[in-house]
Amino acid sequence: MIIIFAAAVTTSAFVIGIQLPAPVARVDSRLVATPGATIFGEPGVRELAPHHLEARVLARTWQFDPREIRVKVGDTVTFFYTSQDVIHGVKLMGSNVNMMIIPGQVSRLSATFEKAGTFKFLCHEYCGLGHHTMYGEVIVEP
Amino acid sequence: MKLSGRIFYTSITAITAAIVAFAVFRPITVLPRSTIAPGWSLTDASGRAINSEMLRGHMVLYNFSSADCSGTCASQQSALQALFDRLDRLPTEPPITFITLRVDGSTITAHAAHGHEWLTLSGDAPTLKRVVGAGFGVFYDRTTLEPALVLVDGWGIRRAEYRQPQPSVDALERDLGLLLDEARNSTGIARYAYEAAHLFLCYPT
Repeated sequence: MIIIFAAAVTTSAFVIGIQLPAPVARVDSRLVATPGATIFGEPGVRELAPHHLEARVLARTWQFDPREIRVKVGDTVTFFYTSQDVIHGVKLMGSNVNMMIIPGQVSRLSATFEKAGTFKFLCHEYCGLGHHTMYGEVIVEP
Repeated sequence: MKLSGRIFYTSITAITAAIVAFAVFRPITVLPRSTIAPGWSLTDASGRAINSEMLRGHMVLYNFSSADCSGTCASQQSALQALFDRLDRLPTEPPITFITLRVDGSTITAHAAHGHEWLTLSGDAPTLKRVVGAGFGVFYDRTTLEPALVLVDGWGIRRAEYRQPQPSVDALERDLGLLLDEARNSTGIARYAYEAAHLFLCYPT
């Protein structure tokens, strides 16, 4: 088993070129919701450039803040997530956004929305009694 | 057990021990590889066109400013000046280039020290929005410019970002040093040691 494991690690690293994701940034989870202290102090969506948006989403038991994100068809949105309390996760339906949300770390992924509709994003890491109520939605307007 | 079998299992054990030791003791520290930095073509104060391809092989520290630079912008620029003054402590090869992107379209004359250059570039508003906003992910409007420094290696890969209003000059100097060490030393067989450092996330703490 050790031989197989060593061969798999070596092959994936040096032949296939697989790398573990690097941390985007670290934040102090005690101050994360304080306005001005981190980018999550004022969660929401803002335009970086035409058709390029940035969404800063704070996860906490048991809600996402903001819970609703509105974008236009053709927009590319870079999602930044972090957690204020325990480990959460996020899966945005119809996109490649699927990642862990860890207190003290910032998770980042981008998605481009090519068609109008409402896409739910939900916590997929069990985080307590209200886990099943932890969801939000991206509304893509034409 | 036959001699060949002993040699085989001893080799496997030694390789496994070496891998574990590398991951635990981290003899090499590297900066993480993030995403590709955006390509751009902008102009300096003399109207000379400069593009990102001309800086291949340079370690580039991007920063963002405007003509009315005050508050966090001013404190970040003073930290950068302190860092630029310290560059004589670092090797001159590969070259380090500081680039200030002026988001309001203004420019000032470039200057150089210790073999390294500090360029101030700008362009038209749509181009700047594309490069600074969409490319580097830095938010700005008429009244706000978020503090940000982006360190890009000689292959055009983002290696570090600093979004604090008061960046640590010591941390910036350390990260630049790590990047220079990697660029100069990761050749030949040593390249695999550096790749292993990336694989085992041997990042500065």
